[in-house]
Amino acid sequence: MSISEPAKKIERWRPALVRYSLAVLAVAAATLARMALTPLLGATAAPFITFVIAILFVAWYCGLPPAALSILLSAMAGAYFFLSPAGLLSIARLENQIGLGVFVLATLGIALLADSQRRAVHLARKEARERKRSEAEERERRERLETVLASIGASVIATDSGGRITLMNPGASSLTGWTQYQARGRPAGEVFVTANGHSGGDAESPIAKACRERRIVGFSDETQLKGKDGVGIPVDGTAAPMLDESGRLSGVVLAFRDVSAWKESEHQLGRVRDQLELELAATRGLHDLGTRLLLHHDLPSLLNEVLAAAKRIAGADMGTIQLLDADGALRIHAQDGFTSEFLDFFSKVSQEEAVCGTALARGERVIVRDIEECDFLATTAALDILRRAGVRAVQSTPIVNRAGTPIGMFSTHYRTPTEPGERELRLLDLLARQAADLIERVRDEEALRKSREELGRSQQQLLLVTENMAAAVTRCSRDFRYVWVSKGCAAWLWRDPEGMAGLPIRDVLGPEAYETILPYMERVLTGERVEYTAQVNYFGTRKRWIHAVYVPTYSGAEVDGWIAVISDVTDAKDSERQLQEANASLARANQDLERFAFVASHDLQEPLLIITAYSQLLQRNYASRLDGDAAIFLENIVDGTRRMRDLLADLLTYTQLGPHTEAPTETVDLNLILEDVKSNLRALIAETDAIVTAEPLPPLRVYPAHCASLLQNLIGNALRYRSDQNPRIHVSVKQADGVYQFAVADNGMGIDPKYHDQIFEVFQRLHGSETPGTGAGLAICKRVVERYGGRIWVESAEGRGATFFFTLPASAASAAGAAGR
Amino acid sequence: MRASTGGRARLLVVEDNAGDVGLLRMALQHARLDCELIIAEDGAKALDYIRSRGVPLDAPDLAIIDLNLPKHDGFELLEAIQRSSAWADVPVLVFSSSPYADNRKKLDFLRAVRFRAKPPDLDEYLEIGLVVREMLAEWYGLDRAAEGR
Repeated sequence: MSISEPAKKIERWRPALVRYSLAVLAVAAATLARMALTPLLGATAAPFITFVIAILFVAWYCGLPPAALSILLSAMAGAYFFLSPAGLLSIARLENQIGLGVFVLATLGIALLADSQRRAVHLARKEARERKRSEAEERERRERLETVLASIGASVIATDSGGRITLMNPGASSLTGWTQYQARGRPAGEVFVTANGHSGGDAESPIAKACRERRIVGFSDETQLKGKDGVGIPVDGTAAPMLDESGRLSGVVLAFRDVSAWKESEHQLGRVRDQLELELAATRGLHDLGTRLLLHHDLPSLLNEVLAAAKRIAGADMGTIQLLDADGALRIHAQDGFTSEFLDFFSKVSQEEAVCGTALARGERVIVRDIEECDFLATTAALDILRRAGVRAVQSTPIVNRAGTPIGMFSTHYRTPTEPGERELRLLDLLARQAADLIERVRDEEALRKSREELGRSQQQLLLVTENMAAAVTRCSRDFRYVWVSKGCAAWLWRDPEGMAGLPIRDVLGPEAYETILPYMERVLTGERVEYTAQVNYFGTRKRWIHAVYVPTYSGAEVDGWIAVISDVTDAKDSERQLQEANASLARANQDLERFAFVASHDLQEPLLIITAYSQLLQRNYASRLDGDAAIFLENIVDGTRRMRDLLADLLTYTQLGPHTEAPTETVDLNLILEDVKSNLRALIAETDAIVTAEPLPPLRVYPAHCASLLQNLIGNALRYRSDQNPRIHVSVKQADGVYQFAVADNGMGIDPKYHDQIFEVFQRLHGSETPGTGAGLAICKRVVERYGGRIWVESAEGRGATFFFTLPASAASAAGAAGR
Repeated sequence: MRASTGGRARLLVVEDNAGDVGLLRMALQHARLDCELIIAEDGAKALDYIRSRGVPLDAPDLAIIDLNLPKHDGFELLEAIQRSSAWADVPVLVFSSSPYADNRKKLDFLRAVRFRAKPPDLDEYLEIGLVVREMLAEWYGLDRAAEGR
């Protein structure tokens, strides 16, 4: 505590002005008091007596400096009023000067004395106050500590330097089983007994350790406190040595708590953490696998990797991956650990077959813990195969894509009865999903690569084609300039393909050619595909026929130009013209020939008639006058002329069926025509005892004579070329594709297939004169049918009868069209 | 002469082929018809004859015309007969090797009384005479020729 403190204290509650004012006032009051005493003491006796009291007061209450002021003022006032009341002259006197000096010195001493006395009193008072306060605080602190110790969960035991317990809180009491009162004063080792949880043996007491090492020590991990009843309680805590200021050990504080609950949860936590780590490792494994699998761009290596992972996860001995093929069967695409017998047997598995098929059919995983106890495997061939492959347990997990469609199956196999755990199955599910994604991705990639290759190839091919094809190919822009020109086109225009891009079409082709093709170019620019054949005069000097196709090209929705494919068809045009000319002259020649045939067959009839008639006259009127040979000669003439007459008649019919007559306008009833034909043939029918039947026939737009000769020839043939049975002839019809197909079937002698074409040629006969006929009948039939755009053919074998088929158009329009040709 | 006036029937035969004429004569004989035959060997001669006999009494009782003739064909003759007032009533037998179907349109249009295709053999040829007789009977009431025999 410094000396200046009371002064400061004084200053705090008595400001300087007050203190100095008090000094002045005290001097003033002393002066007045001395004046009041004057009547008793006389004017000059004891001039300073009252002033001493005032100075003493000032020194006590106001401190030393105001006291010095009051001394000065007192000296002046005493000297002025009382030492020489008459005037200042008396001061000059020595005795007065001495008196004044004594007064000053004496009062100065008094002031000093009073001041120091005041300081001493003040200090003593303050010390007493301080002591009182610190005692109260100490008490309060102890009470608080004891409350804390009693109420905290931790257990606390304090000992003195001798290891005897001085303090134990209720927490420690309940753990140790000792009450505070029983324990106080006992050695700590008696109350706080520890053992090592693992070894069970006594551990070094933490108290002893703290004492020895003189620092705070923790309990070892497995420390157990033996309670009074001997049960070990896991505890954790610290032992802290208490050292006083000089470093001497004054005691030890043990703070500890029951950690059995914590130990238990820590234990559980450890288990959970282990599991989590396992999962994490597996997931990381899957992730790594996924990353690695992404590097596989071909299915087999991808599947092998997936299979290896599946085996690893499931802890399996063997495994397969199957993929669904187009016909819904599972095929093995990857395997590990199987024999060829197994692979052959399971190379293709359909639904419900074996384990994988069952899983496929059910759409979910199937686990067979032991194949010997599996219902659906019992008595199947698969069971034996599995046995021989050393399989005892199987699980099959479907590989399902994101759309929910199964695309395959992976199965893992075990040599011993096994049921995979929940965790393995979960991971297998994850793997299945991942595998599905990857398989689809690889498949997509393969498809994409294929289509890309295809595209590349087709582009290349396209370029090759455009560069090498005879036709010229160009691409033009809508401002009528070349954008690209194929080599062939450039060569055709006698140009270098490199320099043609950007050239105006007009400049390249010349104005005349440009004007010719301009309308087509304008049309293609409207977005229309344009195809035309035109004669174009290139460069005004080179006339060529071209066939061109313009296809518009688009930029967005707008036509930005076109691609033109142009062929020089001049030669084709020339040959077409030549062909047309040749055709025309051929048609003319043919017409002439037919006309000739017609006229010949017609006009030959007349002279033939004369020959016939007059030879008959000879025969009739002069027979008696002809000798043997002459009669036979004449007979031969008559016979020859008759045959010639028949031939000419048929030839005439045949030539008249040429394509020049007009189309019929009326429909005819074929049933009636058939009746006519049967009536014409009635003699032959009666002679051969034949049966002619027919289905109801449709009306047709044909010339009645044509149809009559058609049916008459066919039925007549059937009657003539009969077998030894009575002829049975049936006419039937059916409608198909706008035509009627007629059939005339007989049971006659039949026709060898090698003659099936020949018989339809004019005057071709298969039989000699024993069977009558000119050989024109079927040719006439053919000509009739073909005149209407139909077809005629025969199905027959020798001795099996024959069926002649012919078609005639069902609609009037096509009949007219065919006839108009 | 007309058959109705008595005497032999007069027939115009337009036929270029002598063989046919011979057969025709035989057919008429076969039908017991005694006829005077006026033969025109081609179309031109027939036309001349038709024009020269412009009076009804000069016209023949019947005309047998082949369609296929040199120079002017049978149709021209038919037209000429059609136009001539003197010949308008003369019955005509068209006798041709072409089938009727081919000529029907033209013949139906013209005034052809009867059409007969040239027959393919002697017996049918001889029937022509009967046809001529029928026609004469139809036109002139009775078969004078036959009766006159």
